Formats: sequence, C-alpha cells, structure tokens
Amino acid sequence: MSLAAAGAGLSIAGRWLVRGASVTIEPGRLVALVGPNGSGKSTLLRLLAGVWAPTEGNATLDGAPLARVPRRTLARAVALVPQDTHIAFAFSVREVVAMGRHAHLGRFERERPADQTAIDEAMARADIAAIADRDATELSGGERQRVLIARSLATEARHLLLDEPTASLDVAHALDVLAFCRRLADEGHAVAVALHDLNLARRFATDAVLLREGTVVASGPVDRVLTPGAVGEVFGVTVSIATPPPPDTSSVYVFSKR
Amino acid sequence: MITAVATRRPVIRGIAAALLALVLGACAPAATPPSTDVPGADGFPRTVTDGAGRSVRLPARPLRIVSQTLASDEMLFPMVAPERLVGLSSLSRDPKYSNVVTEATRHPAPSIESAEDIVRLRPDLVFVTTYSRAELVQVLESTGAPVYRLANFDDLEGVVANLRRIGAAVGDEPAAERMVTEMQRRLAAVAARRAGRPPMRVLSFSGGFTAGRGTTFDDIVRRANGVNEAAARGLEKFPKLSEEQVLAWNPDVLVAGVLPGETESARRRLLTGAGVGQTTAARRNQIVLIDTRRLLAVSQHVVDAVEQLADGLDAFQAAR
Amino acid sequence: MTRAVPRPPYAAVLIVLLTALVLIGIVAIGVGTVSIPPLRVVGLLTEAFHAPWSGRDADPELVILMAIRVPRVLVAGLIGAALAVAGAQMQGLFQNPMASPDVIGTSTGAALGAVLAFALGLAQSHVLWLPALSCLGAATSLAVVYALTTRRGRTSVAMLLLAGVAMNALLSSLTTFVISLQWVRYEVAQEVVFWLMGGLEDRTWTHVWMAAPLVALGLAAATALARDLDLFTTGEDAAATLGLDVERAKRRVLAVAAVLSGTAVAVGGVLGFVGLLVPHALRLIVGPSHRRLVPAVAIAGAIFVIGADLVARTVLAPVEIRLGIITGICGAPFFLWLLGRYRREVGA
Repeated sequence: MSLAAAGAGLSIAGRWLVRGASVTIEPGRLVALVGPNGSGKSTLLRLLAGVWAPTEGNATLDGAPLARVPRRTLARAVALVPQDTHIAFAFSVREVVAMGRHAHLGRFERERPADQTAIDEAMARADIAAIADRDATELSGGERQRVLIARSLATEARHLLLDEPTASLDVAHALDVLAFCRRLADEGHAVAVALHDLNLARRFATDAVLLREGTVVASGPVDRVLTPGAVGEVFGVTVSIATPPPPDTSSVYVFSKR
Repeated sequence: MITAVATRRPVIRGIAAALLALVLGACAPAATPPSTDVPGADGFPRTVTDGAGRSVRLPARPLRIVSQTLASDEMLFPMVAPERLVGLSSLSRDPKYSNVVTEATRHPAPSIESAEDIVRLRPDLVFVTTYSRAELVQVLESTGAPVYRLANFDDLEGVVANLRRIGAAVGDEPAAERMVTEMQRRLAAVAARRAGRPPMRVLSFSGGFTAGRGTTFDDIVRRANGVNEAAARGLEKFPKLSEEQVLAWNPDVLVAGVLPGETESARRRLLTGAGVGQTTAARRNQIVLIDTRRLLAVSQHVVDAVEQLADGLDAFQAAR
Repeated sequence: MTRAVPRPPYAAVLIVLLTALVLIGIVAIGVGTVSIPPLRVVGLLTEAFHAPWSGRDADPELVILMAIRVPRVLVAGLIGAALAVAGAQMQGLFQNPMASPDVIGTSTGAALGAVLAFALGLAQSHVLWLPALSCLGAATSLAVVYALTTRRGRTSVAMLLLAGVAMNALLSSLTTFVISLQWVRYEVAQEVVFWLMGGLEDRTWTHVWMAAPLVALGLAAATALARDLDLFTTGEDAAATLGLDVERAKRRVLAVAAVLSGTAVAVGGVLGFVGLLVPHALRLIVGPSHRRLVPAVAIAGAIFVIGADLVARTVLAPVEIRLGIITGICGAPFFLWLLGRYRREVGA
C-alpha cells in the first residue's frame, strides 16, 4: 500500500505552487519534506492527501489516481494533521478523536463498540488518555497536536501526513512529537512530515524530499538528500557541522548567512 | 435522502407545496352556497355583496355591530340605534381625525385594538375596509363572524355607494337613503350657487404634498366649480410638490387642511413661504383653510368641505 | 489547569426543555385581552377536539383560543426553533460563534425577498410566493457573505461582522427604496414596516401551515448534517481527509440555514439575536456536538420566542411592543458582552 505523487503539479491563478513532483510514501518510512517558505511543502502534502486535485501529473494510492478512489476509502487510508490546530468550539478531547471514525460510520449511525475501541487505542498511543474528557480548546499547543494525531490514528489510516507539526511547539515538545512520528513509522505506518527545522529532519526522518520553489531538488534516504552542500544551496546559507558532547551521537548543522 | 432533498430547493418547494395544498384543501372553509334563504318580514336572512365583491350572509338583522374603521363609525352613528353598536374603531375618539368624537366619547362601546377585542364582543357583523390588514381580516373570518369589507373610493359617489351598502347590510335602507338624499340636496345647492361663475384655479398644498386626479379633493373642487390645478397638470394621487413648482403654476386659490387652532399659523406659513408666498393666491390672500377632518373625511362629512370651499370661492369672486 | 468539562446528562436537559416548552406554551396561550388561567387553557384545548371553533354557537373563549392565540404561539415556537437552528448551522459553518442570521444580514435579505413578494403583487396571488422569495433572499445574502469572507473553512470575526454590517446596510436601503417608490401602495408600506420590525399579531393557521412543513424539513436536514458540521472544526482540509465531501456539505448547510431563516422571516419578520443567543447558551449546557445541539437549540429557541412574545404582549398591555424590540433588548447586550469576551481572548 503506497501513496505516491508522480510528476504532480498544482497551478493556481497561473502560478505553479508545485511542479513535476514525484514522491513515494511507503509503510515503515518517515519522509521529511523540507524546503524554504513557499517551496511547496504544504501544497505537496495536500496533493498527496487528495485535498486538491493536481493540475498535471497525478497522486495515486496503490497506483489508482486519488480522484478515482471513493472518498471513504481514501479517508480510511490517508490522514492529514493540519498545521492550524485551532478548535473553535469546546469539544472534548474524546469528541475530537471520535471524528476520526467519520469514514467508518453511516450518516445516522452512532459509534459502535469497535469504534470506541479504535478511539481508546488511538488516545492511548498518542498518550492523551488522561485528558480524554478535557475541553480541547483549553489544551496547550503540544497537547492539541497530539489530539489531532490521535484523531488521525482513529481513522486507522496507514498513511499519516503532518503539516509543520512543530511550528508552534517548544523544543521539548517538538522532540516528543517527532519521536512519536518515528515510532509510528517503525510500527508500520507510512508517515510524511513537512518540516522547517532541518536538524529535526535529519534526526528523526528516514527519508527526505528537498524542495525549492515548487520543484523537487532531491529525494531519497535522509543522509543522501540533506547534505550540507545541498542544504546550503537550497536555503542560501553556509552550513557547518557541530558535534554535541557525548552521549548524544547525532551531529547538528549550524547555519550562517553567506 | 433527506439531505439530498434539502439541497435541492425546488424539491423542497415541491414537497412543501404539495403538503400545503393538501392541508389547505382540508382546512379551507366550504364555499358559500348560493342563498336559499327566504327573507322574513324584516328582510333577513339575506346575502349581500360587499365592497370587495364577496358574498356576506347575514342570518338576522345585525344587533351587535363592530365598526373597525372610522368610515363606518361616521356612517353608522346617524343610521342605526346606538345600542346596536358594540365596538368602535380606535380612531373614532381621536380628535385629530374623527368627525364623531363627541358621539363616540359618550358611547359605551369600547375601542377596538386587536382581533381579540373584536371576537370577545361576539359581533354579528364587522365592518372593515379593503385596506385593513389582510391577516386581521383572515383571523376574523376564521372565527365565523360575518365580515363586510368597505371599498376604497376616490369620489363622493363612492361615499353615496357605501352609505347604501351599509344600509343594506344593517337593514336600515330608509335611514341610509335619507342620509344620501341630504347629501345630494346640499351638493345640488352648492352646484346651483356656483353655477355660471368662471372656475378658479385651485391647488391643494399641505405639508409639501398636493392632491391630483383620483382623489376626493379633486371631486370636491369639481363640485365647487373650480379647477384642480394639480389634476390639470397631469398629477395623480398625492405627489410631493416643491414651492418652486407651486409658484410656476401660480394658482388662484390655495387650499390646505388644518385642525382648529392651527388656522393662523397655517395661513402665515402659506403667505410667507419662499415660493408659495409669491403666488397670486397668496398675494390676494385667496387661501381657503378647511377643517382637515372634513377635507379628508371618508363619510358624508366630506360635504362640509365642499361647502366650505364653495364659500371661499364665492367670497373671492364677490370681492373682485 | 482546568477541570474536565462537566455537562448535565443530555436526556435530562431535553426533558427539562420540553417541559418548559409545554408550560410556557400554555401560559402564553392564556395571556391576552382576556386572561385565561392555565388549567382552563388545558380544558379548552381538549374541548377543541369536538367543539366548534367558529360561528355563532361557539364558546367565545374557545374561538379566541383556536383562531388567535394557538396559531400565534405555534408560529412563535416555529420561528424560534428555525432561527435558533439556523444560527447554530451558521456558527458551525463559519466556525465562528458570532455568526447568526441577523448579524450577517441573512434575515434582512429574507425581509427584502418578502417585501418584493408584496410589492410585486406576488404574495397576494399565491400563498407560497412569500416564503419562496423570502428563502431566496436569505440564500442569496448568505451565499454572498460566505463567498466574501470564508477562506478554507475559516472566517475571521472582523471580516464576518464587517460583511454583515455592509449586507444589512445594503439590504435595508434597498428595502427603503421599495417603500419610497411612488407606485407603492399604503398597504405595502405597512407590510414592509412589519417585516423590518418583527411581530406576531394576527398570525393565522395559514401561517402555521406555511411554516411548519418547511421548518420540519429544515430541522430534519440539520440533524442529518450534524456530524458534517462537527468535522469543520479543524478546518476544511482536515475535514476533507476525514472523508467529508466539503463542497457538498457547505452547500447543504447553506441551503438549510437559508430555508430556516427565510421561513422564519416570512411569517414573523426580522427577529434579531435569537440565532446568536440561543445556540450560545445551549452550547454551554449540552456541548458543541451538533447531534445533541440541534434538537436542544430548536426547543430552547421555541421557548425563547414564545417567552419574548409573551413579554411583548404583557409589559405595556394593552399596547403590544414589537417583538423585534424585545429580542433586541435581550440580545444586543449579550452580543456586546460576547465581543468583549472575544477581545480579551484575542487581545485585540
């Protein structure tokens, strides 16, 4: 089961937001989509989620173009966690997670025991079972992020797409969220994350797609794609490598203007 | 399925229309059957046609009459015995509009404000007009009370017609006929004394409005042997008029409706108006101020206005 | 740290609301120029099943009840339910608690439609023209505001309120224009004023039959759309990936909201703040999930308008205050308080 974009492009009002993008999201992989602002990360995610129809090329699920996949089937295969986690009304956490079951229920059906189990499991995996009855509008950014991830898990979708999940999170929570995403990938999900923080991408992703101005510059295993040279080129910065003190063995890129 | 229906408004219309038709059909009152009543000695039961062309069936001589409009108040007071009136319009006691303030104030019947007021009185005849609120009339009809609509009119013949209709509805044709005869006698007297005089050009000007063709004022002027300048210029009903226009037309006589006590200020306003004050009418003080309750009357009291106008015109033409 | 959301059990809330509805309905039927005590009202209502409602032999109290009071209270209830649910729908669609039929100009659009139905003589020719044009006016106004202000399923409060102000101003001047035209008759001007101020005098069974099917359809559709509306809460894109046909859901919600507010205005004129106040209050009690919110809001809306009409008839008896004034007096201060709370939240 794989989600892919093949030469996909989207143009709105004459402007190409993404062009000729070919990407595969496979189970067991955490793909980081990185690039400067406006490089098309969010757009590409939405093309993969089937929210927008590509102007050229296509996005496919197991080879079938998304437009031809029945809506409910697609919803049960692909889930999107949006960047904006604002919730306008005081739903409880459980109610928000329960929305993930929408594609599993008929219009007038109530949640069945199987649905309740899925909801409970999703909340457990996202570690929010303790706040299940809290008002979702009163949570911190990190907690809300996990609630929405839990909702995606409740859909039982194999493919999880997250749009800048760390954008408004502090460092500790950002690390938590991405560690969680990597765990999900290791458990068999196909995860794609749009990220602006390159070090987080390098640390947690298995694969990366580097975008610049709507085109894919490179894609593949993260170490091969996010080389200092490529990164410096695309972002217009000088990249040097710093090594933190043991026991942490990961290296960190340090950026400075050219 | 319901939501699919909800999206397509024409389908909602269709279903709602079908439901409505079904229900209305079930609830609609039976059409009035052709009258098979044999009138008794007092002429009742009888079926009359009201001013809106509807048949109104009156099973007996009305003894509990409710008048919802000033027109019927004013026509009923001289026509029927006071105890037969059980409800009067709220305007009947308003000194700014009513020509029967004294009689109404002395009369024990309550003023009508709402449909409930009327229903409580258990009337056997209710007079409304064709311009009364449609919902009010509907409610009254749904209670089973006979509702008689008086037609709107724009000349004195209409007043005569309504007097006769009311007479037929309440079973007092002789009294109604007497009132009609009196009206016609007075109008004939006015016509006689005004005959032969060259007609003067008359313009009504009150609050910036004038009265053209198709108004009772137009008929009043004609019967006083004058020329309604606004009608001659092609205006209809009650259009607004600028003082410039009044000056351009330069009528011989200006007419305004006033309440008692306002006479002097009204005259002053006309004499000193920027445009109006320069007209022939103003310069020669040929201004006729008529009691507005008579001028706008929708009953036999309008004849007073004819007489007052004729008096004024006579006076101006005698002076010259 | 906040406590878990405590909500009273839903069934209990519904029972309380229904009881309140029946009680206030009976009291409202008993009030008028003749005061009829509640027990007698119940007695008369049972009498109505076999005794005549009209004509010379009918009990005058029964006539007043069935010809005047009962239709009026029924219409009040239908209007309240319709406006409250329309408000809830709009708040769910715009994802904004400030949305409601009057604030964003939908009611004024409906009023313009109704006025046109009168001015063009259509309302007098067939009874269905009035609600038809009223709903059309509501739909057009709502669609315009939505198209102008909503991006990706989110509407900023400022944009929404501004669009509402603009819409209300535009539609009111168009309506006034209709009044001022020379060929408009006095009766039409009278009707126009009625629409703009809201009022329930002389409501008849025709109004009940005109409104009831449309309101019932609208309520049923709103309940069916409940989960769809819930899904909008984190934006359109997320809703789409959860399996919602977003465009179709939007169109349906707009249509239902337009039919409900159009019908309400057609039989009662413009009544402000019902669609704002009631969903707000009920959301605090039963929570924002639309499956529970819609029925509760419908009953509470009915109670509110029946109650407001009761006040309108009794406070200055025998003079009736226009119903729109009562709902305005209740609703406007609440609306200002809402704005104040929003300002504090956003730090604007």
